[in-house]
This record gives sequence, structure tokens and C-alpha cells, in this order.
Amino acid sequence: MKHELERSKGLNGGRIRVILSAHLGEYTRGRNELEVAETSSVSALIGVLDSMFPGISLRLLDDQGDIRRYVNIFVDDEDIRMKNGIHTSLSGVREVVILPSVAGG
Amino acid sequence: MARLKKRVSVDGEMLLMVGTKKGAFLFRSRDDRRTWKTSGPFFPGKQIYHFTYDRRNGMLLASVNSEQWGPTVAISHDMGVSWKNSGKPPRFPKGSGQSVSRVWHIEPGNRDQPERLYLGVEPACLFRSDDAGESWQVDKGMLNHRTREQWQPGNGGLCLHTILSDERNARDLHAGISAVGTMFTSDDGGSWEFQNKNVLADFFPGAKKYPEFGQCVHKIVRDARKPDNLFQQNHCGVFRSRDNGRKWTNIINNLPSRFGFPIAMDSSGERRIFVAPLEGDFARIPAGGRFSVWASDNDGEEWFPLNRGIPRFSYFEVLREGMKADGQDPCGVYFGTTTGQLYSSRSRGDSWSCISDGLPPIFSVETSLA
Repeated sequence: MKHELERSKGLNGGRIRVILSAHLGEYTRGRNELEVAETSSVSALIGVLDSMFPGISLRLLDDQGDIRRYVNIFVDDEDIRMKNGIHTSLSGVREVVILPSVAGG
Repeated sequence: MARLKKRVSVDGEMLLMVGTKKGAFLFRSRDDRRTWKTSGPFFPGKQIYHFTYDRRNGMLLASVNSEQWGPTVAISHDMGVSWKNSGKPPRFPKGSGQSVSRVWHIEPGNRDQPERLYLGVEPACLFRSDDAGESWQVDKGMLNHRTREQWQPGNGGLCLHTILSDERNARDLHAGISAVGTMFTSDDGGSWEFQNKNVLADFFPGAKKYPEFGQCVHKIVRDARKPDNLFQQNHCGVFRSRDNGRKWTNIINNLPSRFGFPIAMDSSGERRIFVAPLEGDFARIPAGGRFSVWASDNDGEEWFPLNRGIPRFSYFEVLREGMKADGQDPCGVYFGTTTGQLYSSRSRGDSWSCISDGLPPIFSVETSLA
């Protein structure tokens, strides 16, 4: 309830906590957790990440700008595929988690 | 793939680049290919579809694939000590509706274009780089080919896996695509024609056996000394061309099977062709459970097995990039298996020894003088 209240009032301080898979460490120089200023959408957030870590967007998005099939992005624990994809709003969002699917051998 | 090289005694350093399902490994020999020093894995856990060396620029190149994070090309100028990814990796243009799902074969361009590289990708298309791999541009002639929407994938996907440049003319290029066939351009990719004449494709029920395209080419090699001579291992046979691919002749003759994936060639002196037959597409195992390289010294008129040093019980499988000849004199031949064995021969295949027995599944083997 308190969480919902904070979100509705935008009480996350205008910052978003971003948690990145350790597999992206070659781009992030080993950082897998950071805070960024609130952005309007997941797409805008990926742009911010790419300006900080050049090339990381190539690992998250395919050639047509869609999220790669086996990349999962969670916005406050919700998979963006269940929302509005890369256009999902980040207004009032506290946390974005970027992880690979558990797949393969 | 055999490339045009000066015949030299093997008193320099020989490199063996091995791409596997779980990373890339580099083997180096300074004693005429007797012993090998290993480094790697580079890109541990990543799928390396091709790992090669550009002798013009002294750089290693790797086709690095990740199911999750997508493909890229990685480059090292210090024999694998450090790597960097292409700044602009191969990407299809926005609006094309296509995305590169895997990167396959990397091919250095001609000697007079030292920064030119070619790359085959999946879905099948050619990319080229004119800045030694820093950036890649799609070949629009192939991307917009009139038949492209009819192309169908083989079992390994719709991949461009073979690229043959031609030292006689930098604008000439062959490409092999499964299951589309052989394509040729004489204007540096401005336009592409098919070169599948007399190449069998009998897997289409009720369809033409010799269509314009749709052939399942597995690998093609060029004879460096007689460059109009091409040889291809195909799903439906082994074929020879003596006119730079314009028409082909089936040369399976006494081979135990028409089916296999790799093909390699010794162009250093007396020509010898190497293939690795499997029982067939219905059973992709060596005949009788014994893996043998088969060779021909007369352009495929007769074939004979070469298996001295290979275990009698050897259900090995070698993929299309998995066997190469080093073009030296005497010619070294190398193959890597999907069960992680790496074999070499310093005697044109007359005897074999195992270099490594514990690698991940091997996708590609490439060789070069340093």
C-alpha cells in the first residue's frame, strides 16, 4: 500500500534503479547496478544506458529496434512484454531489471 | 579454406583457430606442426561459428554468437590477449524487417584491398567491411535479390556459410547459402546470379531435380593454383566445376556416401581433395561407425579412405567449417569433431594424430601461417 502511494506521488526521487545481468559486464566495466534519472520509457532508458556504455543497446535490441527474443526486461517486477514493450512508461517506476532468459544448453 | 599463398617451408609459426560451442581456442606451433601451444577459451560460453586469421593485417577474427545477446564480430591484434567488438556490427537496415540472428563465415578480401573483409550471416546475406572489421555494410544486391522471399533454410538455418574471393578480380565473389545454392557476383555485389547448373536437389517431392536455386550446398573450396576449379560438398553429392562455377559435375563415384559437410583441398603441389562422408541425411554418422576422411588425387574420379591414426570406433561428426588444409608443403590437414576431438595430419592425411581430445563441440577449424 505504501509502495503504491509512493509510486502515485512520484516519490522515487525521480531516479530509477537499474539492475543489469552480469553477462553485460564487458560493456558496463563490471557494474551491474546503478541509478539513473527517470526517463519516459524503456526505449529512452536504453538510450541512456547506451550513452553510458556504448554498444550495450546492440545487445538488447535487434536490428529493427525490438527487444531481443531472449532478453527480458522487468519494470517493477513486470515483464514489459506484458505491458507496452519498449514503449512501456517508466513514470513513477522504481526499478528496471534486465536479464537473459533461462534457456539453452 | 585454401587461400592463395606463397609456397613456403613451414619454418614460421603455424596457427590453428578452433571455434566451438563454448568459446574459441588458438593453437600455435613453431616446430613444423609437431607440438601445439593452446590459448583460450576466448569468449567462454559463447558460440563461435568461425574463428580465423587475417594474415594481411595480423589479426584474429571471430564470429561470436549468443542466443540471448545476439551476434557480433570480435577482433584481436595481439593474438587473443585483448579483443574488441566491431563498433558497428552487421545489422540489417531499419525497415527491412530482418535481423541478424547469427554470424557465420568471415573471409579476408584480396591482397590489394587490405582492409576489405566479408561476412556471411543468418538469415542469409553478405556483409562487407572496408575498415578491417570496425563497421559492416549489407550487400544490397543480395538483400534485395528477386528470389529472396522464396529462399528456404536448411537444417542449420538460412545461412551464408561460404565466401570465395578471387585474387584475379576483386569484384568477383562466390557465396554458398543453405539451402539456396551457389551465387556469384562479378560487380562486387551489385547483382548476383545463381551457379547451380547440374547440381542435384532431389529433396523437393515432385519438383524439378535441378532447379535454378534451392540447392543445399554445404561447403565450397577453390583450387588456389587453378582458380577456375571449384569443388563443393552438397547435400546431394560432391560436385566439381572447371569453369568457375558456371556448371558442375557430380563426382561421388566410389565414395561411400554422397552426404557430408566439409570439403578441403591441398593446392600446394599435387592436388588432393578431402571430404568426410556420413551415411546420409537420414543417419548423420560415419559408415560402419568408423570416421574416415576420404581423398581424391584425380579431381574426384576415384576416392580412397584416410584413417590411419583415427580410432576404429569413432562416431565422429565434422561440421561444414570443421576441416581445413593449410596449403603448405607437405600439406597439413585438420579436422574438429562435434564431440571435441581435434585431429591433424602433417602428411596430406596419410596419418592422423589427435591434438586435443577435450574441447567443446567444434564448429570451425581454420589454419594460417602467422
